[in-house]
Amino acid sequence: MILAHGVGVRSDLPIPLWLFVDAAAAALVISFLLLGLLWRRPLLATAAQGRSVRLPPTLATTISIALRTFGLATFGLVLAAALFGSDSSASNPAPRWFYVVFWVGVPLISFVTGDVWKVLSPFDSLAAIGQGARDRRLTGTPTPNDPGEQDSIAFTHWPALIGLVGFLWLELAYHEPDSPRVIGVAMGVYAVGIITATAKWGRAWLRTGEGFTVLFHLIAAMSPIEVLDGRLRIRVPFSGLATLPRRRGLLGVVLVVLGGTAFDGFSRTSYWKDVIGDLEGWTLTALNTIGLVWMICVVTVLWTVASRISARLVGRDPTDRSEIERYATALVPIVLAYAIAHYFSLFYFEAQTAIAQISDPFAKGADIFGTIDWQPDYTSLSPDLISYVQVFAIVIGHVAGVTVAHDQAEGELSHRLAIKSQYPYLAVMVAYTVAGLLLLLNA
Amino acid sequence: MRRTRLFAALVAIALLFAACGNDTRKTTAGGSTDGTESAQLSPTETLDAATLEMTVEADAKAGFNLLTQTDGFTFAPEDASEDHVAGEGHAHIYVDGEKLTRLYTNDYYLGDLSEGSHEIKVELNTNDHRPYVDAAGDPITASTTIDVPATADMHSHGDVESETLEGASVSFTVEPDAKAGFNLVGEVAGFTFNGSAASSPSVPGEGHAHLYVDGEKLTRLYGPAHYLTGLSEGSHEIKVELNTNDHRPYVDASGEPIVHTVTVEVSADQAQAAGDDHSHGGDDMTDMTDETGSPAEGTIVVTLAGGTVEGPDRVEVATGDTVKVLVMSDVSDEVHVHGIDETFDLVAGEPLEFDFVADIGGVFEVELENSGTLLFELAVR
Repeated sequence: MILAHGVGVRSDLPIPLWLFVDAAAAALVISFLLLGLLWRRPLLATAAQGRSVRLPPTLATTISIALRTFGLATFGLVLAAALFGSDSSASNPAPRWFYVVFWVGVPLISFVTGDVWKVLSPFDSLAAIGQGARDRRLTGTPTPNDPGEQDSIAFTHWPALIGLVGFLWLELAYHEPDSPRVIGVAMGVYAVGIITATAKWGRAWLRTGEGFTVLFHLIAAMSPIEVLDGRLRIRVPFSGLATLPRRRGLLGVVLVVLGGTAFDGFSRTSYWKDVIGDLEGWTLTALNTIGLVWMICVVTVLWTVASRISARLVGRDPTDRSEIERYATALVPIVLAYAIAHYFSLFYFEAQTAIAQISDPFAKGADIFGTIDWQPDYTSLSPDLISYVQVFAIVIGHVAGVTVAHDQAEGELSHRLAIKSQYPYLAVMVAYTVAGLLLLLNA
Repeated sequence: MRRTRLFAALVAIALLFAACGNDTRKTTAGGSTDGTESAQLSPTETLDAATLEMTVEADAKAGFNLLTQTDGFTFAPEDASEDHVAGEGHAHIYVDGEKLTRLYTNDYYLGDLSEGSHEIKVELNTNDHRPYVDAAGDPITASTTIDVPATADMHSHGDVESETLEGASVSFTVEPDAKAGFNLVGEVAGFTFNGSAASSPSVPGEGHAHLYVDGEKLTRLYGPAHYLTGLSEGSHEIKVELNTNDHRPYVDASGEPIVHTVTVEVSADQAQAAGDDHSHGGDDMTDMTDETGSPAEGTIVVTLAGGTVEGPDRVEVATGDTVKVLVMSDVSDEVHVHGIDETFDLVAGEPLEFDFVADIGGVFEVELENSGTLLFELAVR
């Protein structure tokens, strides 16, 4: 995590050993109990329907426009602050808005409120404006907003993966991730790239090809709230994963983010700090890049092995590439759990600072929104409470992941084979969970 | 059926795991050492129910006698600079706030004080030189102020009548200390040390000892242990001789003085580390962490030379603790303490001492503002 020089005044204490042991044991116990006691028919897809009410159209449109404006304006302001504001990451609001409010805040909020990025995304708003304008000019009728069945690689999730890898590299490997100028350039370049792609492939492309849109939508699928087609839906948490449309590259997106978050935690352990030593500059970046890639490879290899063994156990073809992707959605709760464990205290404190700092985006002593004096109370969240939340999140994420995979397996196989297919995945998820807890222990 | 049994077995194993886990539950009090790295030791050690009392009396002949009474604490000179063992250790003697030497026995002869008023303080320490604190977190110390008159002429023994003491003996070893200096640790038989009776009329069987280095008297010993510093490189003869209260040598039945002699080889490194009792480092930065010249108790010492940082990686303290830091650097910069958000100016070559109260929980970086070099991490529970 970007600690030195600014973003993040503090990092979390390591969790106590007894908490680690208890949590790991709990994860193990619950896993085996679940495997023996869970339901025999797929239930989540039905649970995902939940209950829905129709939203009053005017209300829906007003909120939508308000949020879209907010999203666009914030993006513009943060970009401007990054490029033209103070050079120091301590006083420039851009790094905090970029890494904390956006990267951590949007998924955390999405888990509770549903996919807010759908309306907050400046790319989607710009695309909507552009598309509307083009439609009126060309045909007078709106083009359908559905990527359809296009088979080209552009419409898989691979472009999204590339975008996310770029972000993770900037955050975790690059030696000066909190430099406002670097962030500004990255935002600008990325925006240009996305806008170009949208112009070529249409607004619907964003939903499969834009990294953050894909990731935040995945997280939002776990939310109890969904707003879609003018309806507000309340459903069982995590059930939305069962009805997610699946495209090639989805697993890649999940593994990359899981590996990235894992590397973030790993880079804070004394092992990695010894490896890095006194390195700085591009040498440090190179070493961190290797570490990041290595961590992503580790989680990928583990998952691949599990999928091969599982396929073999139930008589499927283990060499079929799509087998790895089969239970990809089961990883999403674990990704969110890792994010909560590593980042929630950071979000709690630094989002407050971000709100304060945005009142003076160019470090000119301004107070545009009247929040400049807002100071987070660093004693308001005790280290003990933080430890409990971290561990609780990881265990819950693990349980949810096991449940989602099991539910999917029950829908595709006989009960006996479904259970059999889950053993290797259970082992891997326990490994991820214990590893996640170990990272918290060695912070 | 088979699967159920397998599950039951696995659940049982997991529960066993959890139960064992509960046994390792520790309360992280200020002094417990959870971590496996010595860099994560707490800067102080709590020792409940230990007491320390001290008086300093002018010796009838010359110098002063420092007499302490300790309860719930044992002097362990043979373990000095070794791993911590609860309840034992040694003490540090401070004169006017500056550390004079280590105290290995209850009583000590202060022979070398300049004229004027001086504050004498004794503080109990662990084997690994961390201060013992009581249940309230205060260091276990005792102090007093004395007035040293203008020094009379050095007393000389001249021709003194010896006193026979049969069946008495003294023996000792001199071992290099793991940190600096040498530890003289020994034992006596048929003889009792009595520091409070020094320079008073002789009482058979009791007295004190004289310590000679290379034939010259260094000091009086009021107990069978002493911390030796200031030995130059080379070979030295260390001799301890038992004396009566009124400074006459004890002799055995055949008229021989009751002595023990040991020869010590001091290497160049050991001579350098031992240094001068009152050195403060000055230009040589390795002396900053030297035992005899070290700063106030519990201070975190960090040196920065040629881009390399020497000091603890991470220091653990409790919320509310006062953290004291000493930084010696060969470059000028600003030291920034995250969280507490204070900055201190650092001048190359000048020691920077500062302290603050760690009132926020978490892990905070203490780093150089301009170069971004991390000095250490502060973990506040």
